[in-house]
Amino acid sequence: MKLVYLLPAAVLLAGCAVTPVYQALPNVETAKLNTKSAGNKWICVAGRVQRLVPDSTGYAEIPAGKPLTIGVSYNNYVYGGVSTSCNPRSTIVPVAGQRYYIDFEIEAERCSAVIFKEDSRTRTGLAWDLTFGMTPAECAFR
Amino acid sequence: MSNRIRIAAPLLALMGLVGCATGYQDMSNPLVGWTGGYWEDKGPGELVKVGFAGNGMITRDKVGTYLLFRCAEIAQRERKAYFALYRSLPEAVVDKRSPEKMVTTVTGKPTAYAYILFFDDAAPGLLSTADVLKRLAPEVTGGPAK
Repeated sequence: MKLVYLLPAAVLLAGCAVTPVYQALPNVETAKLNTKSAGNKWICVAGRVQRLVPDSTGYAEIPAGKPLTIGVSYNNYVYGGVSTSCNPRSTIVPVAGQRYYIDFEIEAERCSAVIFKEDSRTRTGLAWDLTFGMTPAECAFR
Repeated sequence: MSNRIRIAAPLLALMGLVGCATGYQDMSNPLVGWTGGYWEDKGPGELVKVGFAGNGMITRDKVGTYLLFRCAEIAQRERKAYFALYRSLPEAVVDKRSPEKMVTTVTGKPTAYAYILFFDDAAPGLLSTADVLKRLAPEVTGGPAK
């Protein structure tokens, strides 16, 4: 009986242990991703999922200059009283120095990632990024 | 009070709640929130994300009505005469305003959220806080708008 509870915990811990944390390389241009929305953020680098760990301001560095798959993993996230899990991802081409915001939309049993540029000139604080979703997403988290 | 009554009374109350559709209530209410209700999150920017989660007994129409009414209540709380309702974050970013929110299901239960933005003056596509409260109050609270 105890195994029923221990097994998912062990799988979860193992998943965390094998997913490396993204470390920006020196001399590589970077942008920043706002990680304050719900869920754990990750990127796909060289075909591998890498976790993003934010700094004290809630932003994580991401590589700039070429198409990048960014994802969010929600496991047993209590969405409006309903437990659900999803792992949406999409792509942008980050511009060096730009800040981005990622969130997810969940509707009709489907979950999708949305990524915007942060723009303090708008009331939403966001602006559309023309590179959003223009290249196929890479990496499957599971 | 006998022990039997002490045990039976909360149990009966619980059974009553289980058999009922989600009412118009705050989901953070520890007594009834587990059956669903309304919730809100601030951001990004000046947006407020407002949601209503229903249980298996409530209709989609009712969830849509409760969500819109809650949006108007929040606008009233913020002393704003008008608000824009957006069905999703992308629609908020491009300022595509909607008169209502389509309600769908998540894990089989009707649930919905919308983003709202407040305005002081009337403009195309905006909802009047007072009008929404007046129109929906009889259905939501059983009485006139406060």
